[in-house]
Amino acid sequence: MIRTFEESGLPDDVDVQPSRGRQAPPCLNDQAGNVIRVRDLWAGLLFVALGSSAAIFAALNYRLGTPSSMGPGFFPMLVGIAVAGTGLGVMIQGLVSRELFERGGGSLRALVAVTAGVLAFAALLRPFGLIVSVVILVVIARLARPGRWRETAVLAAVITLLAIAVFVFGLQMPLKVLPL
Amino acid sequence: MTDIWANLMNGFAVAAEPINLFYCFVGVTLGTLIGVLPGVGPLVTIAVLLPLTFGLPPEAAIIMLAGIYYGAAYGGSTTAILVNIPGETSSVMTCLDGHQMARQGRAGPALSIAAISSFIAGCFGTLLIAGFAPPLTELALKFGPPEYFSMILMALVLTSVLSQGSLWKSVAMAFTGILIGLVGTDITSGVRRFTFGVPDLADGIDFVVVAIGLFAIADIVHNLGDAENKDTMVSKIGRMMPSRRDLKDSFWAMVRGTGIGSLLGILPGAGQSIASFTSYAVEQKVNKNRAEFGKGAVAGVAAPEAANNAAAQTAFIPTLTLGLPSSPTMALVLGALMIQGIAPGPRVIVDHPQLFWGLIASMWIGNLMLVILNLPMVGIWVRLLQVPYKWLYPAILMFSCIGVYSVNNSGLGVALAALFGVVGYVFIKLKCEPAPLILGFVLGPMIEDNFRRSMLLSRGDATVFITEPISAMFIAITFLAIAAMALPSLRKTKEQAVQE
Amino acid sequence: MKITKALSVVAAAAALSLGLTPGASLAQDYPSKPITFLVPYAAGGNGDIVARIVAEGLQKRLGKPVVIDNRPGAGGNIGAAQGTRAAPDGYTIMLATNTHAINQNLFPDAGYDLLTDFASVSLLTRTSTVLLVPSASKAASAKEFIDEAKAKPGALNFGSGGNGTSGHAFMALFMLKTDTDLTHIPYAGEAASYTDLIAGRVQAVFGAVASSSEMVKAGQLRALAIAAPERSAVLPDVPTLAETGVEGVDAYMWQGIVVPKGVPEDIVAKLNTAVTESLKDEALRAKLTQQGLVASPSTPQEFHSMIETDLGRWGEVIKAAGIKIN
Repeated sequence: MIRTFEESGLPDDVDVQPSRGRQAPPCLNDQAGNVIRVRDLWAGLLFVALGSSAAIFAALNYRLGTPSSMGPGFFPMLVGIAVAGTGLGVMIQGLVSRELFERGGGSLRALVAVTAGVLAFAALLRPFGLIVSVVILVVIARLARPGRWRETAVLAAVITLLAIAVFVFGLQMPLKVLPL
Repeated sequence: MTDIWANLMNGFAVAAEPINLFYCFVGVTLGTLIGVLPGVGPLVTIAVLLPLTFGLPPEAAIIMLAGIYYGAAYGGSTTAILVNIPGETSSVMTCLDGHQMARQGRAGPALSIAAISSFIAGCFGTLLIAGFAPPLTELALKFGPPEYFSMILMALVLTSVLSQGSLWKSVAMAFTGILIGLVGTDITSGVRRFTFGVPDLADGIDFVVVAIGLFAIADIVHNLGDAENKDTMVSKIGRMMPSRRDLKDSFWAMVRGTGIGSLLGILPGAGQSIASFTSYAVEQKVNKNRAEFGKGAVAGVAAPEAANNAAAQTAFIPTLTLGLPSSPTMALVLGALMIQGIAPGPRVIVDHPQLFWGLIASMWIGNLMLVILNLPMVGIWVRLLQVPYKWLYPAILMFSCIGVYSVNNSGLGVALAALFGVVGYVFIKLKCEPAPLILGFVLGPMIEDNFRRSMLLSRGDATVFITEPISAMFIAITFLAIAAMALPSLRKTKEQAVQE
Repeated sequence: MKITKALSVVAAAAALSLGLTPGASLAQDYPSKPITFLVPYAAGGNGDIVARIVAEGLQKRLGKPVVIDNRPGAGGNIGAAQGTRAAPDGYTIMLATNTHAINQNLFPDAGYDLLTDFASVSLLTRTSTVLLVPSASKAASAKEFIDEAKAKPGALNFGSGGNGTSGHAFMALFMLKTDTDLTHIPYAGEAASYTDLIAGRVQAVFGAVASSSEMVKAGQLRALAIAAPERSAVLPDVPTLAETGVEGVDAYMWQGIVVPKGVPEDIVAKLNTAVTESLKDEALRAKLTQQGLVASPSTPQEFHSMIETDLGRWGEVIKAAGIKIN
């Protein structure tokens, strides 16, 4: 059976099919004692950490000024505090609603492969040109969901040609094509 | 009124000349194709094609560049709907319901409605320019820093509860977006904030970098990792054309979107994105199908698309009448005019009536071409969704990477997009929606900037925001919105508590 | 940065092993491959248009493609810093502008030094800055404006395209020479400051002639004086500040070509000849004039001493006016 994207596609997928999504969260099965797996605790914590470090960084490094004559540090500090404050709200809400992380799902492999592919592209494009960087991007990104090598090779070739056709010939972008 | 009519007829005569028709067609076609590429915006395209226009007559040159500009807006919504990647700030809202529709196999109607509402809005915007350019310019001049501050604050508050999920989370995401938007040189003081000594961050993080990271890359990782056995993005493909009901459902959204877009588009600097944000937020409050927003409501596509395109047209008003570009893209269009030996400015309408009215008429023709061009294309675009995902995603990655690279011709931007991809994936896992973050990212820095400028101008007197009438009006709406928001959500929390 | 450097070392080594020693022996057949024209501004911006117009002429005369490479960011600093790292073989030329001369004084970490990191090739174009007031302003001349400003120190506002931009620097120079005090209101770019100038929220802006002349001709803005040694052909009726009695506010905004230090002199000479000849081309000059720019080729020495003067001038202004980044 083919599972569709509705089930797990988007960040807002919860609401796509409420009958399957929110109504019966797996979390209700395991009750207390699992505070560590409360999802929004972590979400809130992330905001608190981000907001407070930004606020502290801004306060220490930039002139604050006064509300009527703000320095460059004032607004960032305010926003940092706001992020941290709302983060606290998210944490409390998480503790109240007790929604846990969904079991399973998520693939470190996909994350690493896609990210590494993009980073490799970023590093290689200027020095080595379009062909090398696109081929390597495709090859690395394909490791997220490995297929046959022949397929990867064909795909890399097609996508590279597409890139050259669209950006070099079509848009006349001044991109280096070959390494030299 | 008869004057306008005569002028418009004159304009149509210019626009209908074969050479101008041809370049209009070239422009909108190129624009559409470019707009479809994730991350490649009209800015890069116009910049690249600028030298080509050197040899053309001025009318043809500007007609083609304008065609690229609004054609790209059309193409951008295609990408937003099909693969959930907003190419520019104004298509973020289109992603929300448009992509949900695509996932439900309703990509065809979504794309058609986007095209139709863009067309209607574009036509109306054109009429506005034709009839009311000078008084609208006056209106634009009434907007000083306090007015901008209050208006943007209102837009941010109105839209901060876009998501269906937790209010706390979306507000936290919006603030986080503001924080990210603050990276770069502070306009008022010149201090580089949060750049950590990296000179490339001095101009801040580009929207494309954030959007490609949070939407394109994070989505790809999510699709690959969390859903096994999936071969294509969408399992079924329904009808191509919208049903009678779709049209009926989106009619008023189109009308309101057009109104909001036409007005806000006049304001240099912020109009287009604020227009699409605000129209979506308004629809979410007043539309009769508001409960379906975020789940694939057709009105949720029609409203921001109409607003976006109406604004794209009226953005020409300050550009042409004041000679002041309302966006970097418009700055390029002005540059093209100057190369043609036409100094853009208040006198353009009088000194170059052929060009001014020809351009306006061509925009109407161009919008018509776009509909004719795009409706049959819908079928082709939708087929893209049936390409096996394992082939599709490396291609999306390639286009995204080169698109991001083209923003500053720098690899650092691409690396940053990868970072935002990781962040975006974490957000998906934490069920934090990216849309409010993008809103904060776009609007937050403008809020700070205009607040501080207002305070500089008023020498530290914060009452300007309520003593200036236009600003006071926006502040009042903002407070009303907060009150209206707080009451039901308090009630809801109570209900939830009772339920549990 | 380190990686790029390491790579360029590798590349240099590779070039050596192939027997391609960079240096004088190459001058006769220069250019033998496409030339990269590094433009530290975004495509379509003012500096970029100059570069594109000139590149067309260079291409014709040098017989090899001249490829524009836009490296925008940080007001031109990122591209210029990149220029210091390019190989000094004549195949990378760079657009330098008066903004670099200001930035180098303003940012201790700008990452380049126009005089020590680059060799001058030629000045390309220059343009003037003009003192603008709203058309509703009471001041009909620079003198009246100065009197008004003196009467109420700190009360008048002036707009600029941002802290440390040339509009800011020119006003700082003006205030220094006229002993006036206006409040600085920075905007996100020159265009944004014009809107508030027309509406009268700020009372003055030092703007580029090219971007403001149409608004002046249409009567939305009033041009009081040109801040350059000579009047501008675009606004011939507007006197220079010197004519109105204010001495020392007479700098040009300029664009020129530099190459990384170490490019053989005969290649610099060859480039200079190509630039000079290109700028004689009537059609090309006309395109520049439409941009409000005056084609003004120079010898490398003239350009070099002009950069030197400008660096000194803005250094003094920035120090004396206490412009700093805080």
